[in-house]
Amino acid sequence: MENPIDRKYTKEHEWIKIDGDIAIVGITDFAQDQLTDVVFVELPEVGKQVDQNGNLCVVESVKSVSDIFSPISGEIVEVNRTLEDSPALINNEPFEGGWIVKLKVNNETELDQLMTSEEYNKFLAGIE
Amino acid sequence: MKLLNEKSKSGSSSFNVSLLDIQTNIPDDLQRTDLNLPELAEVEVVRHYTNLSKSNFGVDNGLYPLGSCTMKYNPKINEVAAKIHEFNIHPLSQHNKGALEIIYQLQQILCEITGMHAFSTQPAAGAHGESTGIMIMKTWLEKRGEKRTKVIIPDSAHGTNPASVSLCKFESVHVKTSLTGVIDLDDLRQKMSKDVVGIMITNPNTLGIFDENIIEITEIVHDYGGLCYLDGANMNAMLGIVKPGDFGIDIIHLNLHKTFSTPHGGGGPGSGPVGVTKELEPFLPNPRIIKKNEKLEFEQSKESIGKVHSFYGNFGILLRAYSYIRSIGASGLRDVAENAVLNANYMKERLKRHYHLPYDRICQHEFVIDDSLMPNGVTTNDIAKRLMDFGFHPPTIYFPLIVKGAMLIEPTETETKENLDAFIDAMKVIKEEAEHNPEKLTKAPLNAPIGRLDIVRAARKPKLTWHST
Amino acid sequence: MDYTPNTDKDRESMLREIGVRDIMGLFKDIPEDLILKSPLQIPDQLSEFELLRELGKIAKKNKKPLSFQGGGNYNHHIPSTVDAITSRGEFSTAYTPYQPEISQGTLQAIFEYQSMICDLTGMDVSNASMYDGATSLAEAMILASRIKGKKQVLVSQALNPFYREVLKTYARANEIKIVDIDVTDGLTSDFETEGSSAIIIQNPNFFGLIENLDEIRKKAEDILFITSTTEPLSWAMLKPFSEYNVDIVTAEGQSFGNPMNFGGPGLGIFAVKQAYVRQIPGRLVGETVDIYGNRGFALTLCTREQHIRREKATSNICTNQGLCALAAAVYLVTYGKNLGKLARLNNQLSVCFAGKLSQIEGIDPVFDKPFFNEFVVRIRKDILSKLSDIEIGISLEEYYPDLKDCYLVCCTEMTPKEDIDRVIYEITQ
Repeated sequence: MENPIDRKYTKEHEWIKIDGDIAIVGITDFAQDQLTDVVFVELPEVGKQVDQNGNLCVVESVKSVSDIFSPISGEIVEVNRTLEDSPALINNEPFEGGWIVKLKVNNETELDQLMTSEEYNKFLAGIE
Repeated sequence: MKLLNEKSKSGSSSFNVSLLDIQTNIPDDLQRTDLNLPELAEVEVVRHYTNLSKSNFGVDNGLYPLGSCTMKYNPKINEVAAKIHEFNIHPLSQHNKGALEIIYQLQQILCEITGMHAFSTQPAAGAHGESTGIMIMKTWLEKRGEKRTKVIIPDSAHGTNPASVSLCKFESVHVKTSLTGVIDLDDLRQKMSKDVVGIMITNPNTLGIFDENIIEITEIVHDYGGLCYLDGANMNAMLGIVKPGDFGIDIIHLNLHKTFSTPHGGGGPGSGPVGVTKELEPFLPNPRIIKKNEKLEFEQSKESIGKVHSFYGNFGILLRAYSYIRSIGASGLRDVAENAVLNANYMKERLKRHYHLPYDRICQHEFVIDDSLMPNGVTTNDIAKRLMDFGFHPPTIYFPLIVKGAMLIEPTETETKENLDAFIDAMKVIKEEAEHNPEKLTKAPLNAPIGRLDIVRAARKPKLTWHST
Repeated sequence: MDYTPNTDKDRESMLREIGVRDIMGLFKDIPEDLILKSPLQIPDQLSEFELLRELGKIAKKNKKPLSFQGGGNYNHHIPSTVDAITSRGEFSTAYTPYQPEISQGTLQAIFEYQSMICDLTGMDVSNASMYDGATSLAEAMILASRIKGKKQVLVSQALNPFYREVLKTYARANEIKIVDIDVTDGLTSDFETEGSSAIIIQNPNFFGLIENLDEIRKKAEDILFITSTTEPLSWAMLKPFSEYNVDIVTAEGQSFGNPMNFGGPGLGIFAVKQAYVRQIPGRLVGETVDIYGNRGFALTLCTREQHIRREKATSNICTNQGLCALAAAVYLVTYGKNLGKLARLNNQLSVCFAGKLSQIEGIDPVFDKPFFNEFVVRIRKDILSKLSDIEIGISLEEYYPDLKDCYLVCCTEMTPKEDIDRVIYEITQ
């Protein structure tokens, strides 16, 4: 699966897509492949403030537990409730239906520290 | 197979109880109106479980080389010993001299085997022994009025080690394994400080290697005023050969269900006695069983961590271990270690011609191979499932975590050379199948009582009782 | 005895294959001066018959007089089915069911155990069991303070004193503060919930009495309600805990098909409401299907556990008391609905014994309240001396200084009316 060009990426394999003053956050195809079948997502509470690189939520597969970090700081305005019943969305549609939270952006300059899809592709090539 | 509640038939239970003509003192509004347990005729109960047992694999069924679990044969005499009528007494009975004698003698024997000064048999399992040991560290620290917060654990350790450390509100600090499979001394030196309570090591470690630097390791920790804890899961390789007390260990737990042949029972009950040096003896769990003026009695120590079990631990398991040790004696114990190590090295040498051996050196009672040489994407999990078709229990898989696709193999001393050869042959066939017929592996097991199970589904929609939908 | 089947010839050929000259070549990683030079100081091996003779001698130093001791460990009849099943090697010599395809026996039996524990308690989820009643309770205390984020729990003094000691040990390690709740007239007194994460109540309590759970729940509305039971046979007669909105049920399950065995192994029962399923410590078995769609069982929700979550695990416990849980399951299904009658019989015998004792001058009932199969009496010293070859109960003075000359007396189906009459006869003759 290709990493869409309309968003930015972290070294921890989260993606973030800006839509006005709202940012949508999820994990990349590479991340879901490493995790294997996701069985549970511990979603955060709406209204919670998170720091950049702070803990956003926990994603569990059969074999592992992974902390997901927030690419930017902000307030959580929505969480993807469909993941409660269908955690497999993270595996099947990591960039679309498998989004995890929506944040209200605090400080747009934080985005500058993140990678473009091109940079992320190179970063992945370095890992593999 | 049908569940008990699906077989239940109202009124079919044959287990009668006759009541007396006496009124209860319990008001109606405190009593339940319905008891919803399944009802089966006795013969159906026995058949249900007999048939269930047929879909289970134990040491009595065949080779069970589950690494770090020491699945040796469990002599039947242990079961006879544990069922001796007079040993089945109430824990608060005053007529307990025989029971006390078993516990006391076992404590003494475990001291002799490990070179420790005193033992408590109260912990009910290995992890229970671990947390007891860390509690001893914590209480010792408090007594000295020191504030230390960290416990060092090698990255090859069993997951219970860091979890036991967390239970006592300490922080785990991980130390790396070197290229030769032992603790990286430079990394250890770097992580040592006056903030370290102690180290928790497994030796031989979970790669099956006896750490040749063990004396240096315990000296480094002691130099900083820390304590050395040994996870004795792998004691089987050291019986009569070497005593942990001689290489600087301050606290140890043993697993009687591993080293001393008590059956694992499908997960328990086990027993995880804890041994300590003279300095730490006062901190052992209360009550201790000691000998005073030739008489055995309970003793309460003021400095003790307290009680860790409702009574004195798993006495039934202590009896079995005692029976085992007495039946094989001192020379038998040494035979155990020698043959366990011989069997493991023999398998390792023969398997390394077909499988990748990440640490190619002499091993103790177990060793690790991995799936890195497997063709067609065949994984360790596939190999494990296929081994079932050959009548073997698979080894421990994906552990230790430091070897990708690990298979940790511990044959134990109770297996014949013929059994080892048959296992090796099966592994050879599996390697060939991986090349020519990988489907056979990815679909395995083919002959087990049930096909490969969907554990993802079990975790996504947990159904944990027959009531839940 | 010798359980190492390699012959000298086998050993030779294996050493040759490995490429070392002798066995000690395999121990070369051990520093030379650590290798033991002399044999262990342990008596030499025995044949089976010698060993049995030796064990028999030690066993005879125990005695088994008529006993009415309970207080956390109970003398119940074990149906003959239990031993027949649990002694099957396929069950007893298996490990934790990590490989579900060849462990369906253990797994289904545990799934059924979990289900029956839920039947009895009314709770939603039971784990596969833990070490014993006291440590189960300690795990519940730790769970509660983790969920609620308050490092303080309320503990009734009517909780078994051994359990209170175990709680103290775990609380000290986990840095939790225990606040004691007094006992008035045998029952848990009033309490304040502020600052606490949970309240811990034993029911029936240590004195055998049935606590007022309704009232306790009402007062403890805002904190977790944890119960402990040492005599779970009472569950077959009493309203299930779910009716009192209990959050965590723990118990010692020894009464269900496990021998007294000088106090161990026990069976730690642990059951919770659905809301806490991902916080529960210990193993869980769940239902699933195989690749052909057949129903099967496997360990599940393993990410709570230490082999994955390591220092962040919900507990350090990685085993259950598998064989004891199997014994409990066989016990429960052997009795089936008749377990209710067995509970009633235990209660009847206790009511009968308490009644007869209280008619004797010098013996007084201490609490006038409903009890299940244990009750407290005060016995004048001169009467006690008549009972030198009977264990009449557990002396309470050591644990409750107020209860001087008081004994906790327990009746089960193993102390029938004839035994009760014998005690009365010995006292009154």
